[in-house]
Amino acid sequence: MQPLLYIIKRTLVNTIKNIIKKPLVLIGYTLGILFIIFILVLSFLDSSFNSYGSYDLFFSLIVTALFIYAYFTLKKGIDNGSSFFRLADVNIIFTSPIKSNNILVYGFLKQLTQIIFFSILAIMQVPNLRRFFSISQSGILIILIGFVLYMLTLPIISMIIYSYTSKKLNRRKIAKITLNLLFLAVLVNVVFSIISEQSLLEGFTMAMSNTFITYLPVIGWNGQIIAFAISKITPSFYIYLGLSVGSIFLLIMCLYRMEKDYYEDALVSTEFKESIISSKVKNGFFGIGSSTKIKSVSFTFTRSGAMTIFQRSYLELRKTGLLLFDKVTIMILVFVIVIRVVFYEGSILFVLLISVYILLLSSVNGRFTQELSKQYIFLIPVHNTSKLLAVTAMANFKNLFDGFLLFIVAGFLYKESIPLVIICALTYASFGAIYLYGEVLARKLFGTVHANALKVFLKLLLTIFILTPGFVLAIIVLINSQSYFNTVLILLSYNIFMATILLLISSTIFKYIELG
Amino acid sequence: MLEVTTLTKKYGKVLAVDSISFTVNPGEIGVLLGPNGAGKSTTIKSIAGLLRFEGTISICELDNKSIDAKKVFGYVPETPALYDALTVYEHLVFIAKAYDLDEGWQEEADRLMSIFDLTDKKDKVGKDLSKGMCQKVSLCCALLIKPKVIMLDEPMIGLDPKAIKELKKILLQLKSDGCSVLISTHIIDSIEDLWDKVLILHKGKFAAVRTRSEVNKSHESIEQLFFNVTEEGE
Repeated sequence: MQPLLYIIKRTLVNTIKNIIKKPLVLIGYTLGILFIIFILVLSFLDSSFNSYGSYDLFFSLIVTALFIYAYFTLKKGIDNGSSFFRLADVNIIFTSPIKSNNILVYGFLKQLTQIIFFSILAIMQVPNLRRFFSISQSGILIILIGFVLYMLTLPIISMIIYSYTSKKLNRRKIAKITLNLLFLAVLVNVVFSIISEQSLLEGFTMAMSNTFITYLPVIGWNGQIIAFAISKITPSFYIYLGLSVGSIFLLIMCLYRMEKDYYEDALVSTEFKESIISSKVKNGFFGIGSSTKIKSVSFTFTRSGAMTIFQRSYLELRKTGLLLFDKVTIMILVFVIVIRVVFYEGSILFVLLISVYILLLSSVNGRFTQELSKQYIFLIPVHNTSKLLAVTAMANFKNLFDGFLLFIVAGFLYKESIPLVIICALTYASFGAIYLYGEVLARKLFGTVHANALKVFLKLLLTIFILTPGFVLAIIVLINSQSYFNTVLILLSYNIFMATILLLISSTIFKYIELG
Repeated sequence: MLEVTTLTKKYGKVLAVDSISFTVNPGEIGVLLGPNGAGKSTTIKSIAGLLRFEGTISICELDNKSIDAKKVFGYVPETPALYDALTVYEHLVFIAKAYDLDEGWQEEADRLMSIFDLTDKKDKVGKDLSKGMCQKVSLCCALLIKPKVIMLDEPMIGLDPKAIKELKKILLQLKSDGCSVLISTHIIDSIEDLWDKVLILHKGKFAAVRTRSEVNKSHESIEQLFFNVTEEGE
């Protein structure tokens, strides 16, 4: 184990040394930490926050999130397995004379450090949760514990399932069907419960917080742990904690006893993971991973110049099937319906704010970045602004599509006028444009920042800085006119103005390849 | 000695390697050739202990997945992946610890770094190295353990001419020290003056296994042999 701990220790020391060596990076990290502390402190100081969500509702929402995450993780796990390792581990450690169980523990320790990054994202959502639930100060720690334990458990289950199913094709099919049936059963139960209770909220809460789900291993146990964030800690908390930690140990034992030779499973999933990482680095978040199926599509290029770039993006999206309607669209739509139906709260303006917030988080790495990993975009003899417009056109269309879909639903739910629905949809798309061109600018400004997390944080700060004047103007208009239409109109006008300026400033990114 | 007996590997219904057997004796340099998709990578990964397979693979008469076999086995993968935050020297320290190398490994590490022009880059971290540099570190890691069996997958790719020359010298030195060397490559010219035995894989089976004297007798170049056996029936 000593050589493996050496890797972890040196990685940590060198990373800290690297940060200290670069004062700007150090300032960036310090600002990032202060920002998180600031929003947390602020959310706990402000006593005006509503805290009317019940324990059962909180548990139901948490468990639903855990179910959804488990479904996609296990589904991916059956196809590609799950890995704690990187290619360097496979090449160097797997071939070294170190016992495979020690390597497994090492992978597990590495996974812990990776979860810290996701935990920070989870912490940043606490102020939002506090809008609806009375989360105590120790509640943050409890949420983190439950979150980390859950994030550690699922990859091991994935590895076990993959290890078992990879031996026979038939097993994989059975596993997939079983997984789908299990989750379908939960869904059917929710639907029946809603029908019998004749209330979406009560039916959903009753179905998702029933005794069976409470005692359900992993999902139920971790859900219970997290739910203690809004209630007093009782001995049950420690029982669920013990069960969760115990199950991790049992699963590791099971994995080790079941298949001592897990290298092949880890290799397959590591290669898959590596392809996703390189796709993220090179192509941005929406890059085509090795598992993406490419459809055969007949297509003819009919335009020339910058429009061919747009046509090519369109062709790629058709081939990958990632056209307008995707996970982000579904996520935003579900969120709006949940806010309206579950909490009976808000207005179309509230929906606009929530949806542009989700859009901001989901556009952390934009689709356009894939263009910058290839030389063609820099070499095509077209004006830079036209290039940038063409490259981002598909993303802008998608935002417009999402905007209309979202606000037609929201307009129906809140019984708002058609002009307000239209202007909200356009404003949603204009926020998308700001994020898009803001990202290009951020790439120009912070392209050389070494750490991805810091780059993302600086980009978020820049975007907030760009958006703030628009929000200030909108608040002034709202106070004076009390009109949603005027408020959204001023936001739209400001966003169009800023997006145009950003477009003009950012378009020079194509001038020099090193800027990409 | 590296001994592979009836190695078979299936991916689902696809038979990637079909019951191949070969040996690379001590002091022998074997070259694994084959067109894309012939099964070379599968064979290499099986020997490196990264895949499950049918058949047996022994390194110095030990099961290739045993700890003792791994202690004498050096591997240079095709994609030289290093730890992003570990320096060149720290990679070598790790190898020394992991393989429990005897005192004096530092001198060997310094010698290898000097050969591959890495001395002035010993404090650079993995993520700051070029692909060629990563390949050199990967070679140093494999050579530091003074292996009795070494397997190199496309070892020349990314190396500068000086490093190629030095690597060839090292491989010949390993050969004279009694090490079994297996090289997998597509660049036939790069191993022309090194090999003792050529193993040509095609569609998961050996299309030809020849020693240098056999090839010399047939007055055929290794390249001609490759095309003859891989293009037969196509």
